[in-house]
Amino acid sequence: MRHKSGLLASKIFIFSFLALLSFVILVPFAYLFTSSLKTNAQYFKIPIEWIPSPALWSNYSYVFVELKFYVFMWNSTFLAASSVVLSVLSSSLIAYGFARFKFPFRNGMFIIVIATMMLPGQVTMLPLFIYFKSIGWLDSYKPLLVPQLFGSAYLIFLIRQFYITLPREIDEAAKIDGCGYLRIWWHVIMPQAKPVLIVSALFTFLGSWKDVFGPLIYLSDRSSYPLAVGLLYFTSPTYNAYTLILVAIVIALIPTLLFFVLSQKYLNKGVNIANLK
Amino acid sequence: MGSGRSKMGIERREKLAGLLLVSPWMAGFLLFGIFPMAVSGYLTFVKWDFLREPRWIGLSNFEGVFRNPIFYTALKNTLIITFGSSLIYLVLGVVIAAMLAKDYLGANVFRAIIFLPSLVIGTALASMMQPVFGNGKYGLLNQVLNLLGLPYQSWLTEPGQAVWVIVAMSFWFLGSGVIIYLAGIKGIDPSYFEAAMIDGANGLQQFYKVTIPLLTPVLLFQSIMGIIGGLQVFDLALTLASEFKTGGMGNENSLATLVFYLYTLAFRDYNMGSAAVVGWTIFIVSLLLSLVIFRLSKKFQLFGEEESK
Repeated sequence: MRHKSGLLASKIFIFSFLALLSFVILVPFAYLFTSSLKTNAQYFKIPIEWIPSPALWSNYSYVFVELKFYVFMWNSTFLAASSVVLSVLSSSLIAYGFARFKFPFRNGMFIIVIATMMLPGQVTMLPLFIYFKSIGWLDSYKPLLVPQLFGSAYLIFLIRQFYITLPREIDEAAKIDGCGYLRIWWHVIMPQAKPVLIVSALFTFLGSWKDVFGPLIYLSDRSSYPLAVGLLYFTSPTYNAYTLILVAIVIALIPTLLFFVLSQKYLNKGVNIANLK
Repeated sequence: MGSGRSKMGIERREKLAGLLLVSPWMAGFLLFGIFPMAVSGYLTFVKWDFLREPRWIGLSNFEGVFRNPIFYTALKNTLIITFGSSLIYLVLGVVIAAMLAKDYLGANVFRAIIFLPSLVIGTALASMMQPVFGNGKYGLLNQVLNLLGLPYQSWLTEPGQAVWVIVAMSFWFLGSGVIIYLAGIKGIDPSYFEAAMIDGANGLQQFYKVTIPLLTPVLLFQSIMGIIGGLQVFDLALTLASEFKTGGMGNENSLATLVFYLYTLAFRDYNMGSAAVVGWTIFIVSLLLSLVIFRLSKKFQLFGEEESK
């Protein structure tokens, strides 16, 4: 009897704790959204008007179309999608090499892959900037995309861990049938590895979508900025219609929602793969 | 004889194919890893502003950086952010994951609410927080304080306070960790929990004696990643500082972090040598902290094993 009431108490405690936390997390979003529908005069009013009247939905079309916010959105999408294709394909091929072939120094090299995963990129940032500047790659997407062709340590690690769990019999059989290594990778290994590849794609997309440092140093033309950097330009003090900045932030949040919905199906699976370590 | 030779041939072919397959990574490691690192080491000893030829100046860059009070502000802020946010990620993250794992009423909704903000672009989240913490008496938090009869605070402009706003923002990024711990907890064999329950362990004891020890590898990996992420905090600070018209790192550099300082030195002051020194500092600090965590986790794991015997 006492045990039961204790369980109920802990249930209530857990529920209230999570509800309070969720409330705190959500309030700034709600505040942002309601403020984005106001004029400056409505915004700078105390107490806060939580349901603005009138609600200025036209703020949205103004920012998105007139202020060309869609350009940032397109740039981000292009960069992130290209990164996914380049990085996932190259990492998957490299991971295939590590998972299925015996060659000298293989294990040593794989340890270096893991080590580079844990190193911060700031040490190599300046020389790479100088390097890309000297070959005239500034103000293009090349410095952000070309290095992806060489694989990402994190993805190589993740995908390789998955590949070694796949049965070897099928690729052995394909080999006996005279299939080349590349064809085995594309037709036998890749289809079996869909879950890990989708997760890798999600991680890469998100990483590119959120990146600020790279675009900030390599790009100087505002019309080529991705969303994460374009937003900084929007918050810059030369702009005095304050609530329009808030509209831009809300617009920047929308793709996140879409991403969340799309990723739900694969998320749990992916996290389990990430936990294999 | 013939088959032996062809077997050798196959082995050699496999060796070659393997090397070929991983060769892009090797090339990338040399081009974008080893070579820039060597150049970055060289940069710490030269004075260079992109315009004139680099000039060898010995240890002057180190002296310049390590004698500059801004460096120590940046270091202090970075360590506050790293430890503050790692603590929130690890401790609160695991507790929340354990709560969500119970699948009580609304767990799915709470999970979504906690996870969603962690997908948001850093600059968007920081911009969103600006009207919450900033904007003087119009700021959301200050209006709440006002309702409670408390005085206004200048969270973003008061030196020494702005950095805590960044720490507080970790609450909104908690979700990425929670989702990983949650999967880890759900992956634990339920028989462990059943055995603990038969032994009379309550929820809290199960959490300490079963969940935490079995999650150690995940916690270890996440804490290292958390620390590396914390040491690299840049976009949040840059966004909050962009509100100041000075183009600096916040009021009295109160928003300086190591990466922000590196960025300022390299791309606003064109002082590549000093920026490289800061880059190496970040590298060495993250190496040291990772080593400490490895050591600590070994101790904890040993402790757990001894206990289970």
